[in-house]
Amino acid sequence: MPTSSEPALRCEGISKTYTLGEDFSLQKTLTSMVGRGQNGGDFYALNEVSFEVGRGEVFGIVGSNGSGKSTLTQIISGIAVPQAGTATVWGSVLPLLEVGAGFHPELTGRENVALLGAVLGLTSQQVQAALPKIMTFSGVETHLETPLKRYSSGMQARLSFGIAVSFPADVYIFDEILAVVDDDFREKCAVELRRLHAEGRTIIFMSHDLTLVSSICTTGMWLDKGIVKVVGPMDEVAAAYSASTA
Amino acid sequence: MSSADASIALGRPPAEADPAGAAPTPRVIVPSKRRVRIADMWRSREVMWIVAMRDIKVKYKQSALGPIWLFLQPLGMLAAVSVAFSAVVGVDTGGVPYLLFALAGLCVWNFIQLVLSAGTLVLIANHTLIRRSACPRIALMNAQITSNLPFFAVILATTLVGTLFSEGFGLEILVLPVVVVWLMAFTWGLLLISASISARFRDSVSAVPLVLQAGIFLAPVGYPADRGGPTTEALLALNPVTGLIEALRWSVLGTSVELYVIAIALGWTVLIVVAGWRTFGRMETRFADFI
Repeated sequence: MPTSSEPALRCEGISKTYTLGEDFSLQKTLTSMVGRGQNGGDFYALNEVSFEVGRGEVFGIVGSNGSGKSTLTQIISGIAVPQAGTATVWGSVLPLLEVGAGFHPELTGRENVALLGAVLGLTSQQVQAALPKIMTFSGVETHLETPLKRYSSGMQARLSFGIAVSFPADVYIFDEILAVVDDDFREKCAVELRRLHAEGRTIIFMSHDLTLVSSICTTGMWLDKGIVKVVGPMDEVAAAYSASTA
Repeated sequence: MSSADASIALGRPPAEADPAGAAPTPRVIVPSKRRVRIADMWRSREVMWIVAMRDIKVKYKQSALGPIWLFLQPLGMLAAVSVAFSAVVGVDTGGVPYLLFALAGLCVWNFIQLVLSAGTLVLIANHTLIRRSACPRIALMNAQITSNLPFFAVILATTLVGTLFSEGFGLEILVLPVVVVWLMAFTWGLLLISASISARFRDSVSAVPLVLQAGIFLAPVGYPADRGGPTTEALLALNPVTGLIEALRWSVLGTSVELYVIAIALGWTVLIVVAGWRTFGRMETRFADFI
């Protein structure tokens, strides 16, 4: 349900390859010295990926493990650089790649909130303003001064999500994040997602779980081994994806 | 899971849904060989500060003596250097008390050693931050310099207080801030090279400790550079750390210094800073791929 014809994200022919096998080893050094070295070969994590997400849309990306979803997130959020193609993002991106992503294990909960805020380019006032909400939402108030390495994975997930929905951004990317939390917390997340959507933020959802994505998203894309199979209304994407997995 | 999934459905957005004001400025991501800019050093200062403060705090966590190590570490080095070069070898410092002479050398050496030994591993240790967040990597580098400043300050202050009560200062002391900035720049350049390389080739994880262990004998930390005669002095001058130590000693203790030694060290520093920045910039775009 696009609320605007303005784009929030446009990807044109994005490609990225990775080398197969170990990068370097003594064996490789020696064999390449005698001229018999051979590369493990490259594979395409993303191959000519093009799509557009409108402003205020909730866009779903489905695909099995290894389809290139996380590589795509890394590129859109400026972590990795593509080998070919252009990605244009209007405004700030808040990526949530996995539980505890971007946390520093030695930093306390509070310091991690400050670190992630600084990474996103927020002012300390903006971080302070978001802190009470992050605390109540994630329910880690009593652990705010505890180093993150002592958090359970559930606490890390709640803190991750609390930060993600409390910090201001134009484009939110959630990569498989709802798969690890319990039903109660998922309901709290849904409330926040509805609020973000109502505020006109763009939300990109990635998962291999079709039920989850198609219940949230109006438009979407099916990514398979780095290739865009279908892009369009979510029910078309869902139909094509479930036909292939059936 | 599916019963909970249904409750997530967002439904229809409110009719007055405001697409968050005016259109934000676009950011274009293209294949690039380098993307980090000098201005990013300033822009990422907040991240740098948070990481540096934490590095200082965790250094002595779960440690019985805690910050006392701040003094014990240089004291232990000072004792070792004094025994080896003053008591056993018996070097001539040209009238300067040996302890002050060695402390001035350790000022420079200890800082380089602290930054490089921890800094070479900093990208590897923070690999989740590198792979999973858009954390500015240059901030991790700069935090290494910042978080080791207190250790440098303790040794330098001890040297200065000792000199004040024994020898007194000459006008050369006014140049000390320049020497300190020089040391920072030199160490920063070396750190960028060794940390960037270690992200891709773990060889530097083994090479850097070796260089640091051997280096304390190949730089005039505990002995004067002219001790071994002109040929040895010229060879020592090829080590950029020699010029830095000589410059700091000259500034604080008023010892003599050869201009050519300073010139060589300055030349090395420019080369290392430029090479460090270029190596880091070039490899930084792919840290997330091959760390």
